[in-house]
Amino acid sequence: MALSDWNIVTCSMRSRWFSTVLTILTVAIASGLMTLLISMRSAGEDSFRRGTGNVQILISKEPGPLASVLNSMFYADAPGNPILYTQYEELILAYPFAWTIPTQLGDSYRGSPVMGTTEAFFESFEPAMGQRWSLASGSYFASPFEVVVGSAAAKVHGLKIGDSITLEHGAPRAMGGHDHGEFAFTVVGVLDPTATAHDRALFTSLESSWILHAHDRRESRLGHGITTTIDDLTDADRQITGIYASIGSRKAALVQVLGMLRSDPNWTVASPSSTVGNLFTVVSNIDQVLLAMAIAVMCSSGISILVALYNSMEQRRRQIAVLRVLGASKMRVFNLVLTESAIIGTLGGFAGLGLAVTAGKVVSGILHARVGIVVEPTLPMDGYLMIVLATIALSCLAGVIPALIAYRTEVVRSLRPIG
Amino acid sequence: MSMQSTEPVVEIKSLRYRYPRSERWAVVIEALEIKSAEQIVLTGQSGCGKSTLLHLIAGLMNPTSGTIKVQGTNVHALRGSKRDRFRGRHIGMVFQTFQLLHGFTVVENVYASLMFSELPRRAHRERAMALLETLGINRPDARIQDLSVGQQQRVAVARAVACAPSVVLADEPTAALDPEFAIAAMDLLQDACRSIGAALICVTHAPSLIERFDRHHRLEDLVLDRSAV
Repeated sequence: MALSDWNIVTCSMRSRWFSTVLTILTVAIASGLMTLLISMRSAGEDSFRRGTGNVQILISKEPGPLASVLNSMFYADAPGNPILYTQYEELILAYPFAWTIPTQLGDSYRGSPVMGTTEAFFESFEPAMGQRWSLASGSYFASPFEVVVGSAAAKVHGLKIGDSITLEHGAPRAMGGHDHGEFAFTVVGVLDPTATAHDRALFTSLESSWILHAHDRRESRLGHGITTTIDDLTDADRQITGIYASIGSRKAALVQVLGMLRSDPNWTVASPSSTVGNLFTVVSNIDQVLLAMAIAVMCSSGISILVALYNSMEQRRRQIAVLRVLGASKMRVFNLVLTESAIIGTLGGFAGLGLAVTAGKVVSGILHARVGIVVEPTLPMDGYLMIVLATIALSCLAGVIPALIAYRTEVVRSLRPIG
Repeated sequence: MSMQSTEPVVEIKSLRYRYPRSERWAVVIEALEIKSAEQIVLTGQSGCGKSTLLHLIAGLMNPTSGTIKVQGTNVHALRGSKRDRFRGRHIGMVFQTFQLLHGFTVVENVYASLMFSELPRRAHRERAMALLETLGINRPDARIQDLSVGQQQRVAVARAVACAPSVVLADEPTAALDPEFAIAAMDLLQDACRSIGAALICVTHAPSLIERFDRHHRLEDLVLDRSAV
């Protein structure tokens, strides 16, 4: 075995291991942050697009399309302005929809949103394009006061088939909600995960939701102790908050229907996929600020490499002078220092990838648990490679000044005995 | 006394060196030849230019005028990496404070010298181990900082002669040692040079060591009046 330039570099790094490890860590954090931001950015948009499924038109009476999509499809809040069911019936007769699904939001179970809807929700709506609903256990609801639970909600609340639950009036974070304790719902099905916001919701029939609210109305009028059944419902009780709709594959008809609906001031009409696209156009401005911050962190890590190597040059001046005496050229010692910074960049870059993947999993887990959507921060392999290469390039750049100091080391002066 | 060939291994002619911004010549040597395997000692007052002369011979500094040839090659006519390569292959150096590479092991310090020699890489280990054994160093994998001063001196000698140089330049190699160890260390250095047929130019302040060399020069005697040159 003989000594090589590699041995000299690694030996030099080993002799200053603490500073070397800290520098690698700094580079890793910067590179990891950058990787995480870039991968989260694309994964977030993909995930939101996924959550809109095969809904082409979302109709509501919300103040705007964005609020409509966020509330009716991502359960951000309870939609404010109800639609009478009779209006819904008139609407579906007026337009050539392939299918429509009435939805009603306004109740919750221990913080998870509860949607009132029809069987069509499970038959026609695909939570992610091309992915139909499937059950992990049980069946879809068939009668009032039966509830089907999304996968994340079932996990969070520990719900299983046969459990009896009561709902609270009001959206999960709404003030002034109250318990619908007099009506017990039975869990009849648990859904498979869909990696969308729907996973954290519970689903029941529209009639069940209507009876809860009709009972409140009747109780305030008639007093406690009354019972409310489906026969007690009036047209005013039959309210929904949104309509999922699709025209099918007829693009021209879709454009026409969207145009006609938008011309009617009674409706708020959203094309969910383009609304999400618009949202990310707005978000991308913030996103660019974050990206700029990540680049700034990368630059600061470059400076920390420079500082670490620069400070070490004072200790290494003698070592470099000795190598020069032994026959190393100026260029060779320049390359030794540059190689060291490249190694720091490479180790930091790959460690950063590891950090980014780990942090991505953590963030993804938190988002899935709290928001119900699955954001899987991944990049194509060449994306990761580009970030590692950029990290190495930046590290090499940071190593140029210390390498120049090594190049210009005055051998004779550096070898003078100390003291 | 050692066996010497008549060919000079170091040949100095009309050498002048003056430090930048200095009016005074630091080194003035009209002519000096050192033959192969010859061992000479240079003495002189502090600041008379002994170390500077060694640095000039090693090509670490450029003379103001004059020439220095090592093995017939004008060292200062070589530029950049050619001069460094030449130094690595033909000149060994031993310093007062040894200048070993800390953080490296004993054998790695010897390898460091062999890295720049003409010896093939596959032969480095054998050469280094043989040399360390000859010099009585039995801890090749020990770190330099874990060795005694005497052992460090041996490693410094091993490193200087590892690449089988034509000439070894020793700058007060025993100054850091007690007098009793200084004799043994000088024996070691001289024997090592003899064993590879290298010339030795040694700078020292110790009068007791002078008689051990083939020739002795007081640097002041090589020129009478530096200011008049």
